[in-house]
Amino acid sequence: MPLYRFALSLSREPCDAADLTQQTFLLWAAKGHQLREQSKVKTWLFTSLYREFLRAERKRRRDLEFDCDTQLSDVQILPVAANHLDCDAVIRALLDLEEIYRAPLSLFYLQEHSYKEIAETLALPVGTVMSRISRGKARLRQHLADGAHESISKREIA
Amino acid sequence: MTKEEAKKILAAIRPGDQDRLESAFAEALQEAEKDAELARWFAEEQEFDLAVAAHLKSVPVPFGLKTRILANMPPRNGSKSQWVVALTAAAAAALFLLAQLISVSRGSAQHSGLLSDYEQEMMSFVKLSPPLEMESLKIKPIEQWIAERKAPLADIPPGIAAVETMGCRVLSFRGSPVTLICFCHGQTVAHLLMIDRAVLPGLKPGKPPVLTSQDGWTTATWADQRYVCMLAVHDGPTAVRRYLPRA
Repeated sequence: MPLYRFALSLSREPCDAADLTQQTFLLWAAKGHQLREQSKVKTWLFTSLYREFLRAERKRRRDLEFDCDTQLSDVQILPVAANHLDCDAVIRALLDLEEIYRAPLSLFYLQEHSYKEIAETLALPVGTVMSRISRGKARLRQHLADGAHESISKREIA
Repeated sequence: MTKEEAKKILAAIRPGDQDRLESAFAEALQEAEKDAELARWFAEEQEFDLAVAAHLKSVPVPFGLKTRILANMPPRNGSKSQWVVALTAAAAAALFLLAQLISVSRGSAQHSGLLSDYEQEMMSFVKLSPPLEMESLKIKPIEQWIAERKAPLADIPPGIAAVETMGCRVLSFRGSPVTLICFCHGQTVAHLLMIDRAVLPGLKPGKPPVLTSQDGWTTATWADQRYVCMLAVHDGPTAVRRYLPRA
């Protein structure tokens, strides 16, 4: 279920992700009839889930501050061979990203949404979405490379 | 357009062909055709994206999430509303994933595994005291309601049929309808679930009910020629046996 996987990428906890998914469907049951365009159901569900997540986060942590000014050039892009990617490491690295990158990148990798739909879902300008996808990927590679180095170091110590 | 600008745009193209015709990507794609280094970078990027996407899609959905969502949904009305369509689609996706996982990992034990999955999923549903679609203290109107929906309806064992009914609901297991009838016996609620036997072919008809107890609940499962029946009661095996056809 892509919606659950998006919820997991946001909340980072399976239980919270299940709650978010359920809450989204309950919202749909209550308000979905207001949606006139059938083709927008998918976007509606993802948007509502994202808003629910933000609402819960705001409640949990009143003041979220993100480092939005990081430029692509600040991030050292490291080569990570696609065929050497370990599933757990990828998911861990994705979940370790800051929320501003995690949300657009998760939607991108679920492959259900174009960058325009991602922009609509997250209520962001398309240019911002492109930047965050690009920077998010760079950070993801960085996390994967860091994880790989850490793993090698541990093996060498052992 | 600089190479960095092109990379930023190309990074937003999903692997595959679905975004290639998007006008916003045209110029960056042209740049990649002209520039061998950029083309190589883009090919590697797409390969990386494909690998990450495959890993993200392999994350399993928690068992019983679909039933949990369905159990907390308000009962359906006569006509199919939009949320039902969306929920059905989401449920179908979850079921497809589960079916894939099961088909890959199980061979000869497939039938018993399927039955076990069915029992688990139905138990996760009834434990939440799901809202009923139709409520009646009499079995006849319930049977009529079920028949109108062409949902599974087995012969109800006399031990259960003698108990007062609460109502019923139709749910789904891997795309097949499951009928739930609830009976009230004092403080105890007995949940009778019925599904077409073709969905669970591992269970042979005519055999005595199989009793299983877990977490204070007892289930009894048996089959007749057309249907598989499962009775779930929040009580011990003794309490369940009094309802059964052949204990």
